[in-house]
Amino acid sequence: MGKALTQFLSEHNQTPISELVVANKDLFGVLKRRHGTSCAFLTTAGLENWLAMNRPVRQAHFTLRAERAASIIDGSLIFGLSERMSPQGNSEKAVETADLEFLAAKLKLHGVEEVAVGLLHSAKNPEHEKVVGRFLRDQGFKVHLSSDLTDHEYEVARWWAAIANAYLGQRHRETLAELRTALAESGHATAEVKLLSGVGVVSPEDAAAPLGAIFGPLFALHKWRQARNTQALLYLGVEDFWLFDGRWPERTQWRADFGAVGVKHSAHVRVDLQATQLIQKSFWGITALSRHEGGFEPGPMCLGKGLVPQYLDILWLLGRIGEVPGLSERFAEKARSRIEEALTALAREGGVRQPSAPRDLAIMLEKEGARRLAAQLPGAASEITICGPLSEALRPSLEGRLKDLGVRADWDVDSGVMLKAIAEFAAAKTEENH
Amino acid sequence: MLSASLFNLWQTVIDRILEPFPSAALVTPDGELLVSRYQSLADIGTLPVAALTCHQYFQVKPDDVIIINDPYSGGSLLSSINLVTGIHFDGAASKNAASEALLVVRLPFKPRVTIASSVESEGVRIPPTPLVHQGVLNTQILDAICGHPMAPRDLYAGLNRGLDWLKAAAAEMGRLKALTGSSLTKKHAREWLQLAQNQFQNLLGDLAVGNARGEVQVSPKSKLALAVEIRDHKVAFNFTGSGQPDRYALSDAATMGSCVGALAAALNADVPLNSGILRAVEVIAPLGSLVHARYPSPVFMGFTDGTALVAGLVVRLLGQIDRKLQMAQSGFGQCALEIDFGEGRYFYDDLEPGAAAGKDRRGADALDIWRRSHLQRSIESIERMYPLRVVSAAIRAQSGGSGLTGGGDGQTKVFEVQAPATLRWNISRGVLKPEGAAGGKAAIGAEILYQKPGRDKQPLADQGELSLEPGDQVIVHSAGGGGYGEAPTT
Repeated sequence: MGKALTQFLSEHNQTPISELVVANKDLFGVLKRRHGTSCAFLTTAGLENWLAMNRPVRQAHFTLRAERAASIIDGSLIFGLSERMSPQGNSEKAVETADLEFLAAKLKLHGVEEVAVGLLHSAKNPEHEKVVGRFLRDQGFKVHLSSDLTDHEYEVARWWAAIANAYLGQRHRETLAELRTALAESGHATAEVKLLSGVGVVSPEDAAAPLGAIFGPLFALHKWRQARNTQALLYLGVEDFWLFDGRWPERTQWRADFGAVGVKHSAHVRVDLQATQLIQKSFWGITALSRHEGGFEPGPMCLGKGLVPQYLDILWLLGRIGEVPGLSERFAEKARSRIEEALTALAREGGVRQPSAPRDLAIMLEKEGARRLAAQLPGAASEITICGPLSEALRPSLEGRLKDLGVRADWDVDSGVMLKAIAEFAAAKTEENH
Repeated sequence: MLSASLFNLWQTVIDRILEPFPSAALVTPDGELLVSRYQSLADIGTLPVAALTCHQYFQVKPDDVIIINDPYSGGSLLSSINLVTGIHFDGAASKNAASEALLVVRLPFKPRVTIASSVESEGVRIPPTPLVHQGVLNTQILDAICGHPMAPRDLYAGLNRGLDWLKAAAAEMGRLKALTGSSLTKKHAREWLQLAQNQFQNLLGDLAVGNARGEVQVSPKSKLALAVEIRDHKVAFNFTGSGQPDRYALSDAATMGSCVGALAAALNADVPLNSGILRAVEVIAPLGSLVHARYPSPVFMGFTDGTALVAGLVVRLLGQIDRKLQMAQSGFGQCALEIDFGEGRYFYDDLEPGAAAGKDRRGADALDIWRRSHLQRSIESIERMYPLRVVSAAIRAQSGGSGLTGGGDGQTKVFEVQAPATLRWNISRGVLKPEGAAGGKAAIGAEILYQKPGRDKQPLADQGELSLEPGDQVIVHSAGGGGYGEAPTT
């Protein structure tokens, strides 16, 4: 990110910059791909397994092979601390220094630097957590207290928030350091770096910053919708399709794949159709958009990498995708025949209940995608703004469906809408500060 | 012939509409199950029966709501209340139009641990009763049900919330034609279910053909007997020879759900459970036996542990017919306790057992494979609501059976009461140990103990009731899952 900023600043003759607002989705990917830093977790003794016992189960159907989602923390780095706070916030058993000294020695032995702390009833009285935090910070650990991050009354949500912050902490600091270096090297050493989070612009040193930052770009879109006074907003990005509805209240809990996380953010839904939705043979024996996403590793076939066709491949094959910076220059023309071959093979398996020609099959899948997307729009929504880099690509199939549903759609097919939203919000905030 | 992509779309859209309800089903008035969402094995078979029973009595129309929880008419546990309404897929149709489908949703309330000799002692039993007629709520009936001394404490609020959600879901169903661009007519439904049957039978075609027979002694007086036969792309489950209800009593619908759920789990396929799939399965459950009990046998243990018992036996026998399905036994679901502080205030918990090991994988810890909701109640909220401390909640180390691949461990919870209370519990220890397979070892079964301050721990029987005083601790261990294959010798 530092390199990108240096390049941008060298290419654009900037007037002196006083403030740089960062909206960064990178940390979301770090969580999703489990690429964070190994951290430890200290909790009330006796509850060391509590988070593991609460991790969601991956399969949505009955299976003999049921398993829980992967964690973001190694179970051997979770330690119990003998202390107890009552539900009313009275200390029933204080934290003892001898226990902390022993734990600190253990943590050092494991080479841990980031430590999350989540104790029972710390939302009611955070004193025990604070004692632990002071001790460990004095020992040189980077500490993330659950009570500093959220006042959520559900201990699991609070504890995951602390762990997620610890997990993302190092990457967050590295990114900030890169940006500050790039600013200094470009002659903007005095510029202040701010972060866009799920609740607005915050200091990057804010305790909840790493986790909160994953919702920054979404917060900007939420504000963008508010500024346009539109009831609902459907953002069709390359990596994510998001739906916002003005009638939904702000959320204090995020349902991550590893469990409930206490973090404030604007209400949104990641809809059940994404650009990398896999195309596979369904239970019904026909080719269909599956429930699973392929992601960008190895990625859609149109980028010359993947082996299984995705929704994006269909849109590309049908010539629906125009100029999308960062995407269209990566399309591999040679992939066209491979996608057609893959569709032909799928059509052969599907028999008479679906088109046999790859192009006809692609049209069927495009329609299916539009129907699936339209069916997820909020029941009584009568107007919606549709934007994002892929909005132009989905418009031909989606427009008719929306008309049938009596929904008036306002299309903003500018591919840079996310950037516009962030810039607009940052500018408004800066003005407000001045 | 319709495009199969439309079936896929109907399934997706209806599933999304039913999302607020963990357990719900859409059934045609002539009894065809179109879509179901389920949390337990019992849900699979019982939800459609509840809808049809209500329709038989009241010819349910849109804007009508019938309430029912009678386990002998399609209900499940008495703490689970069903609401049934009529659906017209074209919401603009006249209010008096006949229903094109029936929507049944199941609202779960906190259960009670009961040691009863009759279903009537397990809670309030509600036969099909009209709660809303032509959009008007019958408050007298609502008050009468909610005011019953054995009704769940939060029933009134829960029912009102459920009625609101049901209304919203019914309205969305009324947009199905607009949402999918096609009408779901009787003819389409037939075609949909026929295709589902064909596809499911194709899956069954991958299984070895054969039969197997097995028994489980469920009590000194009764046994569960089952013969499974796979042939001609169909599976038959015959429970002839099973004994009378004793500790366990299931309705035939719950038994059917257990067989179908276990079969789908063994196939490891995300199968949309509808009538098409059910047609490929034949279940013979003799009337009067524990798998098709007569009123007034108590059902709490049957609809919890009994269904897992049937499913476990089905999996074992399927594994005997087709070796690739061979698995050890998972721990049993029922490891329930209730700590009653009086005046209607009671704490309920049910610990999940460890999952069985398979040939290529260790069983998951503290994960009941026959439940779809694995949410644990917040410890902080328990301690805020009751004079109770959760001393520990942990994985029960070494409780899974050993083997080439080990069974999953169960869990352990320790509670300390801070006020006088009555403990009631129900665990399945003596019935069936979670056995290993292919040389793997059995897991440790469930246990419950209690301890007075400064005294030794006292083991308790499988079920019972005990007075607790402040400072007393209750220690509950759920079973592990069986191991698979012989562990390598060192």
